[in-house]
Parts: sequence; C-alpha cells; structure tokens
Amino acid sequence: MIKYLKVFLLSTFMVMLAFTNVIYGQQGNIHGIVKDAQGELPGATIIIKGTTVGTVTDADGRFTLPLETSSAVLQVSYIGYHSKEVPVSLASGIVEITLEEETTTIDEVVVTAFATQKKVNVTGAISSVGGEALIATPVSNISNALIGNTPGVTGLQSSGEPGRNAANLRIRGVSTYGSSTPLIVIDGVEQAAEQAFAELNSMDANEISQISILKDAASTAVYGIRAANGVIIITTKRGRSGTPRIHFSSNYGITSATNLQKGVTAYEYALMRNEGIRNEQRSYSGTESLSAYLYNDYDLWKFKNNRDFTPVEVDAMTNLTPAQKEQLKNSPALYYSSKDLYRDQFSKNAPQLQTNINISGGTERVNYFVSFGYFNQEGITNATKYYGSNTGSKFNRYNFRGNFGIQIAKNWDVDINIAGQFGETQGPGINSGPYDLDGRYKVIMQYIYDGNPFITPGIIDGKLINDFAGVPGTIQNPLGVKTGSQIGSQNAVYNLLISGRGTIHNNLLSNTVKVNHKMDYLLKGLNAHASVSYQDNYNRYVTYSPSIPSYTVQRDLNDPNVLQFFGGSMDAGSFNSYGYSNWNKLYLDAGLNWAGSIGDHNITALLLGKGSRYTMPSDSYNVPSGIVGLVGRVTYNYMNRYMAEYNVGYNGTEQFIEGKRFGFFPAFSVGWVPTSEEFFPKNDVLTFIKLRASYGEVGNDQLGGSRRYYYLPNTYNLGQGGYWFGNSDGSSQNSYYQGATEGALGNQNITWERAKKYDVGMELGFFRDRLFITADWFKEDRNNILTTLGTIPAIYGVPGNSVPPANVGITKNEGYEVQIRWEDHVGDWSYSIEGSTSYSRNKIIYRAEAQNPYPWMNATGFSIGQRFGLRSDGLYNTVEELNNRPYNTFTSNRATLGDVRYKDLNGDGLIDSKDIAPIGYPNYPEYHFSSKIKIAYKGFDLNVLFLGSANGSYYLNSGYTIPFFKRAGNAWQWMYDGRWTMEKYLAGEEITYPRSTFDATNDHNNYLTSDYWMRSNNFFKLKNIEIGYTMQPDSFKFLKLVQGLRIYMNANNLFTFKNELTAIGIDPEVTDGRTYIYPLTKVVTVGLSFQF
Amino acid sequence: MRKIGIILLIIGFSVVTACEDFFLEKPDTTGTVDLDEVYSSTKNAEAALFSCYRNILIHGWPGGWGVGHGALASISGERSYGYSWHGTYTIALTGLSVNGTDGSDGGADHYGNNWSAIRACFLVKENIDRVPDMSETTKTQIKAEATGLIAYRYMGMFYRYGGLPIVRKSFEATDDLNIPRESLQATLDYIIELCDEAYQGLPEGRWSNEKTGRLTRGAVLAIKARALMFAARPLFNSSKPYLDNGEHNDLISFGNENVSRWNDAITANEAVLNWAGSNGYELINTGGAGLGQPNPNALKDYGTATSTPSNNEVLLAYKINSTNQWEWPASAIFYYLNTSANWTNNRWDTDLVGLLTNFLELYYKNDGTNQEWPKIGESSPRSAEEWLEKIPNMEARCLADNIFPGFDAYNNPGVYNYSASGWGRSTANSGKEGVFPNAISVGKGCGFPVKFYYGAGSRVWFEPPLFRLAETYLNLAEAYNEVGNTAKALENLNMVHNRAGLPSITETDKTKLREIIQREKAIEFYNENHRYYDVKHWKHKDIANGIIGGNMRELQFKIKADASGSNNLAVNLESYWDAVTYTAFWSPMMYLEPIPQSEVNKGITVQNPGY
Repeated sequence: MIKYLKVFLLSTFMVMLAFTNVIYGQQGNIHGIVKDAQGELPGATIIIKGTTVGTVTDADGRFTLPLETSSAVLQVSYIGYHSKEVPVSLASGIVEITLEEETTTIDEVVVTAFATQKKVNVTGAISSVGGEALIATPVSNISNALIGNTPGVTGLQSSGEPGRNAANLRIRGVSTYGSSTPLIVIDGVEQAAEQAFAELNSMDANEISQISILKDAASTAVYGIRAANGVIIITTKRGRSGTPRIHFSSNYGITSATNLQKGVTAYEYALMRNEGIRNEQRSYSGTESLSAYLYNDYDLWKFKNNRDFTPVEVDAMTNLTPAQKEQLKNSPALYYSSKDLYRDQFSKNAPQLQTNINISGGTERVNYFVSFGYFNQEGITNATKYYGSNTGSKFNRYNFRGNFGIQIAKNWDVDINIAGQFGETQGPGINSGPYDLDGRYKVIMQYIYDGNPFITPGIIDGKLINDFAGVPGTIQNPLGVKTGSQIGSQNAVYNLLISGRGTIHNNLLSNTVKVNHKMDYLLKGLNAHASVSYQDNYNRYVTYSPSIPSYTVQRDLNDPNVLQFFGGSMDAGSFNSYGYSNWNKLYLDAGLNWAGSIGDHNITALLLGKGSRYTMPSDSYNVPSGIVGLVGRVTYNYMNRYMAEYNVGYNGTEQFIEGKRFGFFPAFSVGWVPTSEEFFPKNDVLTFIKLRASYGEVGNDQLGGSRRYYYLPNTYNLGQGGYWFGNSDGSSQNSYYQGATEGALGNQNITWERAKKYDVGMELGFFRDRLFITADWFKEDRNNILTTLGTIPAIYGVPGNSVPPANVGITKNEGYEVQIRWEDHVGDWSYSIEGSTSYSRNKIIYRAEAQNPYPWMNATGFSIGQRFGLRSDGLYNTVEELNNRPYNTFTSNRATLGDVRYKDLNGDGLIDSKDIAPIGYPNYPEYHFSSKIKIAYKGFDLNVLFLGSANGSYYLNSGYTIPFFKRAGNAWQWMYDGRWTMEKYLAGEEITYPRSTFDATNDHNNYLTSDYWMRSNNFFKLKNIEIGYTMQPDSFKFLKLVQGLRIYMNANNLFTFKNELTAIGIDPEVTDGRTYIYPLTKVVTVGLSFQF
Repeated sequence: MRKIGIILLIIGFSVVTACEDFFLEKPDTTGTVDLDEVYSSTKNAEAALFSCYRNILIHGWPGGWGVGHGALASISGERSYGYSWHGTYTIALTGLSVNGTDGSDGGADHYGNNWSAIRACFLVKENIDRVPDMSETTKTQIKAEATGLIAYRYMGMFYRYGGLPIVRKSFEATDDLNIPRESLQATLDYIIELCDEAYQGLPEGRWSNEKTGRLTRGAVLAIKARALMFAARPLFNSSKPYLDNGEHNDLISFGNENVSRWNDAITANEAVLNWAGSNGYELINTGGAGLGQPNPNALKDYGTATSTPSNNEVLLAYKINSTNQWEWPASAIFYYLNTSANWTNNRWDTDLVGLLTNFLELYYKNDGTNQEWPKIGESSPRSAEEWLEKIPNMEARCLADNIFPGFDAYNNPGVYNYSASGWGRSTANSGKEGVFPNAISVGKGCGFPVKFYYGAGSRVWFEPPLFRLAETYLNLAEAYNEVGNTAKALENLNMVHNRAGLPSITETDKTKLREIIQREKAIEFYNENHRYYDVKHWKHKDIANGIIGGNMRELQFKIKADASGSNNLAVNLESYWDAVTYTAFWSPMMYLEPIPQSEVNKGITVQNPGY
C-alpha cells in the first residue's frame, strides 16, 4: 500500500511541477487555432512546410509560430485526423484551421511493437480492433470479445461458467504441438508467459483504446523468443487536453445457456432400456437374469401417466376412502416421475451487470484518464440455495485504471499507468482444485449422466431428497430393484448442493511509469525513453462446505397420499482458506528512437533493451522466470510509395543452459503503394493499392513440456524405492533399506522453437476506398519443437516418458485471410458490410515417431490435434453382415444386429490397433468466417456480427454416448430418436444411433473410439447484435450537460443455426474431449451510456 | 537537464542489458542429487543397489509385468480372468497383442521395464568403484550382486521372448543404440556368463541374518539352472521352430534337438542342490516318515515353504515387506495374491479371480488318487453334501492354497478373516437362482487363493518365493526322465510328492511319467508364476484345450432358498455343478511374448513370429 501511495504522491508532485513552467513565444509570429468538429484541438502539430520549424497547439487549441517569410504553408496534423496544408501570411491574422477526422481505413493509425504507425505505412501483417467493438460485446473476457472481431484470431471455450469462461486464443491457427499461446503486451509491457491472459481477461473493455494483432514475423520479430505464436498488443485509453469529459455506461442483461442437452422422458427411458435388455437377451446367452431389470406394462403405464398407481391398484386399496382414492388417482408420481436432469440444473436465466464510469481530460502539460468499472455475472445453475448451501457460480470484478501523462519539464514527459483488478470467482465443487474444471464439473454433473429421469427427486416440500426410504422392490420403493443402479440413488441436485462453495479472491495491481525524453539537442528527432512496470497478483481461495439436511421419502402405507420424510440431521459447516499462485512481475525497458527525413526519404530507427522477471513463490525451483534482450528496428519510407523495415530481436530466457540462451531473430519486410506513383492514373475506381511482403524468424521458449530446466543433469531420487532385508519369519517386518533411483534425465541442448514465417499481403481500395479488400497469404515452417523421442529403442533403459525430449519436431502451417469491406452512406443512411474468411492448416512434418506398420497409424503427416480411431461403416442390419464380420480384438468379437460395423483397413480379418486411423478434423477448425453489418440512420444504429467455422470436429466421448451406464445411467433424446431397431431399418427410417444397449462400458463394440461419434463442429452463429439510439443534442434540451445519451439492446451468442451438435445439446464453440461441460451462455442486455 | 538525460540514458541501457544475471536467474542445483552425489557415499550407493533388488525381482509378479490388473495365474488356466477392465481378461479372451491393454506396452510382460531395471544395475556396477568409503571386498560383492540381478532379468526375458539384444553397459543418449536381437544360443551364453561372473564375486555361503535376502551363490546357480531348463525344453530345444520366423529362426529355436541340453540342466540343478545342502537350505519335510513315505505334516511343511519368510527352502524371495496397502509395489503384489479380508484396499477389484475347475482337477486326493468332480453335460446338479465330503479328502496343497465355500481356510484355522463367515464375500460362484446347467456367475470359480498366507494371521504382506528347492527337485525329475534315468527322476519327484503327504509315484513309462511330473509342477507351483511359461516350453498337448486356451470351467453353487447369512456357510449350500464360463484364446504365436509394436516400429528389433 505504501508503494502505491508513493506513486500517487510523486505523480501529484509532477503535475504541480508541470504547471510552473513558462510558455514563451517570438516576434514576427503567426497565430492560429486548430479545431475539429467538436471544438478546439489541443496537441495538434503544426510545421512550416519545407522547414523544421514547428510547434503544437496548447490546451485551447492555439498556437504561435515565428514566420521568417511573409507567407508560408502550414502542415497541420493530428493523430486520427486528416493532415491539412494551409497557406498563410503574416497578414492573415489569427488563422482558424479545422481538421477532419479520419474515417477511411488506410489513414488509420495502428499500434505496433514499440511504436505507432500509419496503417498505410505498415508492411507487416497486423489487424486491429477498436475499443468500441469490444465494448459492444457484453462478455466478461476480452479474449472472447476478440473472436470474430478480427480475422486470424480464433478460439474455443472450455466452460461457460462465470469467471472461468475465457476462450483459448490462437492466432492463425496452431503451428506447434508445443505451446500455442500468443504473447500479450499491454501498454508496452510484455505479460509473463505463465500468466499470459491474467491481466487481459480481467480488463474492462471501456479501458481499451485499441488492440493490435501482430501475425507475421516482421511485426513480431522484436519480441524474438516469445513471438512465434503471434502477439496481441493492447493499448489503453489516455486523456486528451480539454475540459474533463465524464463518460458513463451501464448495461444489464440476462444470461442463459445457448444449448442444453435434452434427456428422454421416464417413459421413453423405460421403453428404450427394456429394448436394450431384450437386445442383449436376444443376442447373448447367459443374459436370462437381466429379465429382472425389465419394466413391465404397469410400470410403463405409470411412467407414461406420471402416476405411482394404476386406477385398478388404487381401487383395490380397501383402507382408503373414496376421496382419498380420487386424490391418489390424480396425484403425480413420486416414484414414476420424469425429470430432465440437465435442463433442470442449467436452465436458469441469470443476471449480468456491467457498469463503467470514466473521466478524461487534461491541459497542455497534463492529461488523465481515470476509469472505474464493475462487472457481475451469475451462473445459470438452478437450485443452488438450500439451508447454508449456496453453490451457484458467480463472478464479480471491480476495475480501476488511472492513466496519467505529465510533461514534467521541457523535453521530459512521464506517463504513469495504475491499474487494479479485483475479482471474485465463486463456484461449486470445492473438493477439486479451483482450476480443475473437469474435476469440479464431474462433482456437480456426474449424476446428470449417471442418474435417470426418475431418480430420487431433488427437493420436495423444501426438503432435499437423497433416496427413497422404502425397501427396494416393495410398494414403497417399487423401482429400486428393477432399476438396479450400481452407483446408488444420489441425484444431481444433492451433489450440487453438497459440493460446497469456493471463492477465489484475486487482486491484480499493475503499475507502469514511462519516461520520455526528447533529445533534439543531440540529434533532431531523437528520443530516449525508459519504462518500469510492476505487476502484483495476490489470490486466496476460500471454501465453505455446508452441512445440509437431507431426507429419504416414501408414501405412507396407510394413506399413500401422505409423504413420509426421514432424516434431516445437520452438522456445522466448515471454512477453509488456501493461497494459490500468488505472483509478481517486474518489467524494465529503456531505449532510443529516432525519426528523421532527408528530403522525401523518411527513416526511423529504434534500439531498446528490456528485461522481465516473473516470480511465483510456489514454483518448485524457486527461481523467477525471466527474459532479457535487445530490440532493433530501422524503417524506411519514400513518399509513402516504397516502404521497407528491418526488425530484429535478440533475447534469451533462463530456460536454457548458459551459452545457448540467446537467440537472434531478424525479419525483413517491404511494401509498395503503386497508387502513389506519379505514373498511376488518378481515378475513382481503383483508388488504392498496397503490396507487401515479409519474411522473418521468431522463437518460442514455451516448450509445452511439463517441466522447466530440461538442461539440468540427470538427477536421482533418494530415500524412496527401497527394499527389505533380514531373516524375520513374518512375525515382524524386516528392516527397510532406502533406495535410490534415477529420476529425470537432462538434455543440455534444449533450446527454443524456431519459426520461419512468410507473409504476402495486398490491400486494395476501390471507389475512394468505399470498397476495401485486404488479403494475406502466409506460411510458417516451425522447427526445433520439443519432442519426446519415439525412436529411441527400449534397450536405452529409460522409460519413454523420461527420455529427455529434444528439439527435433518440424511442422508447417499455411493459410490465408481475406477481408472485404463496403462502406457508404445514402442520405441519412450510412452502412457498412464486412466479410472475412481465414484459413489455416497445419501438418506435422516430423516428430521423431517410430514408423508404424501402416501410414494411417502415424501422427506424422497429419494435422496437430488429429484424432485417431476406428472407421465405421454403418451398422449391422442383417445377419449376413453380422456373420461375415472381421474378428474384433477390442471386444472379443461380441457384436449383434444394430451394432456399429468397423472397417478392417489392412484387410487382415481383424479389427485391431492396426485399423486405427485418422478420423475427422482436429477440434480447432480450419476455416473461420465472420460478417459484420452496420447500419446507421440519424440516431439509430444496428450492428450485427455473424460467425462461422468449417473443417473442425467434435468428438463425443463415451460419457455422452453410452446409455444406461451402470444399469441406471441416463439416456438422451437424440439417442432415443435416432436409435436402430429392426423395424426402423426395415421401414427405411433414418438411423443415427446404434441399437439400445444395457449396462455397456467403454469396451463395448459401439463405444470404441471411432468416427461414428465424430461430429462436425461447423457452425453459423448470430454472434452479436446491437440496436441502439443516440439522442440528438437538440432532442435533449432539458439537460444540456448530458451529451450523446445512447440507449441500446445487445445480444451475444444469440442464435446458432442448426448444426451437427445442436441436437445433442453442445455449443460448437466448446472444446471437446470431456464429458462434463458447463454449458456456454448467451446474454441479452439493455444498456445506456452518456457523457458530460 | 541535458546531462541528466544522457546519464539516465546510459544508466537505463546498462541496467537492462547488463543485468542478465538479475533477469535470468539459474536454479540452485547444489541440493540436486546427481550421479556423483549418489556414488560419493556407501549409504547412497548401496541404496541404488537396493532399488535394483526392488525393481528387478518383481518381474512377472503383479506390478512387475505390463498388465496393470491381475496375476499370470489368470491367463494360465489356474484362476479366472478377472474383471473386464483387467488386462488378464483381455488376454484371456483375445490373446497376446503387440499393443498393450490396460497400460502395458504389449504382451504379458513390460518389455521396456526390463531394460530400465537392467540399466539401473549397470549404473551400480559401473559406478560403485567411485565410492570412497567402501572396501574393495564390498565393491566386488555389490558388482556381483548387480551382475546376478541382470542375469535374473535376462533369464526371465529369455523364456518370455527368446533371443535378446545383448546389453553390456548403461547407455548415453548419444551412444549407438542400434543393437538387434541375438540368437538364442548367444543369449543363453550371456546369461551363463553373467551367472558365472556373479558367482565369482559373491560371498561363499549365507549372508548374515540382517542381510538375508541378498543374492547368494545358490541363487545365482538357480538362475543358471532355470535358464538351462528352459533351453532344454522342447520349445527351444528343437530342430524346427514353433512357427517359421524366416531368417530369424535362431531367435526362437536352437535349430536342433540335443539331449545334452538336458544333461547341462541336470549338472546345473545338481549344483544348486549341492550348494543348498552345504549351506543349510533344504526341502522342508518335518514329518520324519523317511524317504518314500507320505509326510504326515504336509499341510504345515508345504505351508511353511510357500509362506513363511526366510524359510530354508527358499533360495531367493522378493522381500517386499511393506504393510502399506496403498504403496506400490506392495499394493500391486498383495492386490491379486491376498484376497482375504485383511486386504482392504479396493478389495472388490480382485473379486473375479477364483479357482477354475480346470485346475481343481489337477489336485490329488490325500491318498494320491484322483478326485471325481462334476462334469459338463451331467443331467442334474450334484448335492452339496457331496462337495462338503470331497474337500476334506483333498491333498494338503489343495487345502493350503485355497479357501472353499462351506469351509474355513485350512491355512489359518481360527482366524476370523480366513473363515467362511469372516471372508466377507462369496468364495465361489453362488446364488439362490438355480440356472443349472448354466452359470450363475462368472469369475469366482470354486474357491479363492490363500496361498502364501499359511499361518499369516492378519499379516497382509508376504515374500513371493522366486526359487524354492522344490523347483530344483522337479527340474531334476523332469531332466532325468528326459535323459532316460527313470530311477533318478522318480527319486527327485517323490521328494516333492511325498512331502505333500502323498504316497510315492512308481510310474516308469517315460511319457506317462513326464505328464505326472508336469502335473506335480502345476500343483506345487500353483499361483507362483511358473505354469504360464512351463506349459508353453513343454509344448503341453492341452495348452489350447483348457490350460491357456479353450473352455474354462467354474463350479456353480446353488444356495438354499431360505439361506441367511454368508453364502459360504456349509449349511447354506444346496447343490453344485460345473459350467463353462468362458473360452480362452490360444494361438501358437503365443508360445513367446510379442515385442511391443512401438518397439518393432523403431526398425531395430525383430518381432516374434505370428504377431
């Protein structure tokens, strides 16, 4: 706290210092004022053409320049505005110059590594997203907001739970089977690889001015050893001279699941289970005893009619009055009830609230941007509160940011950024680690899958029911024996409620001080700058395990209308508190840059040194991870026609042995704008052409392995693996002698991955850039990928997983991005339509894999993440097909009609591991599409974003596909609807699921890993839509202070068009490979914003 | 101001660029134990040797083969095949495979683990001379122990795989690892070379009491003797390989049938007996009935020999004494060999490994004749009274090895956890639903193994015997019979047969005697990892017909409808019958283990035929 106080005091002092400076002017001056549409424009640059004399406007937009001749031409420029040339003379008096804001693409300014460049001059592959697009996406994570907003950035989510729903971002797909995480840079500060998204994903979108995605080597080379997976640069907002502007925005919304898995009804369940049992009995001997699990016709009637007794049974109850009988006949079932467990758990509409207020402004010497944000999102689970139990998921976040710019003296500028993010993530399932999503979701969801529609019913009369009280098989528990669950009658509601509540309190503070010193006194255009940044993250995990009363229930024998409850005792709950991964990071850099012109030749140069040190006290080696290096850049530009850049990063990390730590990463790029050539005919059709190309090498020191310091020598484990000697006769143990075994083996040659990247791009503007096309082709050759050697023979004597890995893997990745945008206005209507496609496909060229007998068994030659399994060939529909099948070694050849039929790829008459081949595509799709439409009319605006993908696959693992698991597990509607029966086959109906099975396991014929369970995750989504109205100033006279009041409605993830996963109930943007998934969510919000 | 700027600039640059050490810290490796550290003291160097004992001698026992679940007895017609997720289940039904099931890397062994264990021994052997505070004598002994342990593992691989790559050192990753398999003869020669080398360096007689369990000269002689037995048996000792392996036939066959291999085996086994006799090791027979007479103390003597740690019949045991049921490898070993209620760790996972009828039929009655058991195809089930009458008349080894329904275990009388009611689960396939002639259930067989726990009470651990002198006698019986010395064969056979309380065998027909000797070996070494390899190397005629492959049968017990309490109680049994419960897979390729496909793919190691 003291530390932050000091920073505050220091900054306050500097602000005061700045005000005491004196402004001075000269004789023979010209005076002027620069404005934009809204008023005075402070900070604009004015240069007398042909000279180096210039100045900037003051806080009131005014300037004074000495004029040596009687007339001259002033060049006026300001970032984000069209530059203007204005002829003036001493006689002009006070000149008034109005700049127009840039709207067209090519004049946009882009933040690049350690610089800002006009987009027209950029020669690397960089795309950018403005802060408005992020604000218009009402999700908690910036990662998720980026998807679809810029080509080449993709991602999948592993969870929809509040606070844990960030997407795993990939830039231009995947190029390595090591780590594919991009580097994140926030206001010039590189984030630690270990905490790549920690700060980004807890930022408030309102703080962000722009995000740049650096994709090729030319734009990322300066980051050298961390740059191979691309770089995301975030620039936060800063204040601008002028009166304080206060901006307020708030939106409130409702989140709900995008898609829910639909279970069968109890009646369908019973039918399909009976069918499964009869299938077994028809096909296999020794299954006679399964008859005990069949539901009879009375059971089926009861399931269908939601009654525990048939009217005949009720009438036979002699001890009941007619009224009681009538009541009982109309009483819904207790034992034969029907519930849809998945929907019951996840169908809640949960609130979300997002609020931000920020103040910005400044004077000539000081500017500030101060923002406070609040975000709150609740989970979509139902029935989370019961006695002391509160197991709903919730995410709460407070953001603070203060960005200050101070001119402390002539030529000395200081930027101070202070940001704090205070998050609280709450959720159930505390007995797994807070970051172990699979473990947590298993706890709360296992009984959705392992239970059934009529499992003990959850909460009745405010009492949590955990079992039926009656003896199984009696009238008071009629289904207990027939259902015969092997895992008990617990239900999902109970498991969610007792799973406890864990809260992660996370505080992240980031502070950056940057000093900039103009050294024109040494060399015109020379600047020196240095920055220091410190991030400190503290978190604490607090859990509460409640003790809750639970009951068993049965119908009273004397009057079945009466429910009897038993149990309900309760103990004290317990609190626990743990620290988790507290960390801090120091970042320093210092450098020189120079920009100058010789005639029309514009040159810039940069030389910078930097270092960062990430400390995580709980790290096993107790050594901070660090990176240190140098950055160099030279750019050249001739009249905006010819551009060239040379970038180089030279850096190293502590991961590698001394002498092999530092890598040199150069990149070169060129650009040409033919439309700026004098020979190019000026026309209104083809208005802009830029061609660019880049090549460079970058590295990746995040090897994706499980340990650090692969270079350390072979180690031994002492004190374990011992043995016993002695001549005891067994009446006592012999003496234990400690052992020593070889542990991890080192490899001193371990080094970084290396990527060679090529990029060729083209930008075309037509019709005065109303139509704008950007296209990039890229190719990447990645080598040195850390690889476990599969070629070392067993006689080496080191288990495969302990053989030290080596940098031998090679992959390639190739693809393209095309973006087309049309923008125009007709009268009061303005609109734009943008479409983009990105494609990337990778291939493993070499990964030290021993050659399998058949090429389809190798990973080499296929994409990273390629899934392997048996290839299916429909189902066995006839006895002939069944009898002529190859011997299946996975199942002891057990199969029957309606079972999945597999292909014997090598034709040896066996279905075995030699028939396991690539199936489907990897989970991350190859194609991504997005389409943005914007329409504005007077105050109204409409923004729509569509998103889609193609060539990706989703594997349904056995958790989804096996019905009646352990006899009483759940079954899903898509199984029921699509299942094979002989009748359906003969009738020619569509069959999408094998015959019903009973009590099957993973090694059942139908549930072997195969393409039968591979689904395309291709999708087309209405990802985001926003309709807003901004009040016109004159329509809001009653409160003159307020400007730009805007109200809007927004929906994110609103609608997914039918795809192969819709019926199953899975959102296509979720990562596969797991059974227990917290569903992804959509949100519909209403909001308003205004400023004054 | 300008000066400050320049000074700051210089400072800034130098801070950032000259601070490599600040930003790139190195891990503190002074506490890391590396090879130098291990061999800088006797204590640590010996620890490395002791780990070798632990990891070498587990070979073939649960935890020491590739299959994560089960024991070899479940794939050799002794015990039922386990649960569907057990590796034994898959192997029993679909045979050995080049790709592992249940976590193994292929087959019924873990090919890679052999080499890891051997590497560890070589590291000891190569580095022990560096230890400063150790006498030359000790160093010589430790090198010999390491060598002997390598020989033990090579012996095991020899009869599993055939010819092997000859490894003579620990490798560096940069060494030439392109070492192909050598011929059977070269492999056998190498094993003998290792044994002879180890023999030279080991102490003369027994180790002192506190070092009991370390490799003796006797144990090394026994390694050599067993290796030579497998070399002499018909699988290898034949002019024709069991399957044609093309140019690699020398990996799986000696290429000729030579009776001298039996003579070599006799010499080696006699050497074991000689060494044993002069160092206080003996076949335990306390009955005092004299040679040729049934031993009245058979139950106790057989029980002691198989169960009591450090008994004088055992030349080498796997002395895994851990009492922690959750700690590997104790947990793995006891998991499938201690099915009593004393074993509490995941006990239900071992519930389907009961005794098969196929094996039950091998046991003699206590008068040396054959018992008459229910047969498949009988018209009605037999009464439980008959069962209750028959069991007490079985030979001592049958009673010492198993707990049967209707009986307390004979090996721990009076111990609740070994009693019919205290066993805690059904000791046999049983149920109230009479489904004769079908199976009521599968896997529990007609009894559960209690071998190795004679008189153990509540002790959960035991020391799996690796070499018992009973093996040496039976080896000699087998070898003498093969060379035509029937008298010596019978003399050695009856040492074991009489000790089991049975009257002497007098058969003199070579073929019939061979079958009797093989039956004796099966019974005496039930559950001791011998049968799975013996029957293959004998090329047993019934290997596909109820031993490794073929129909597996389990008795089924109907429980009285009004029964209460444990199904195991004698009063609850109503009737019983035999039923085929599964058909096990056999193919001649299974005579030897497959090399894992992943290893063959590396292009250096040749696969055995058929896989």
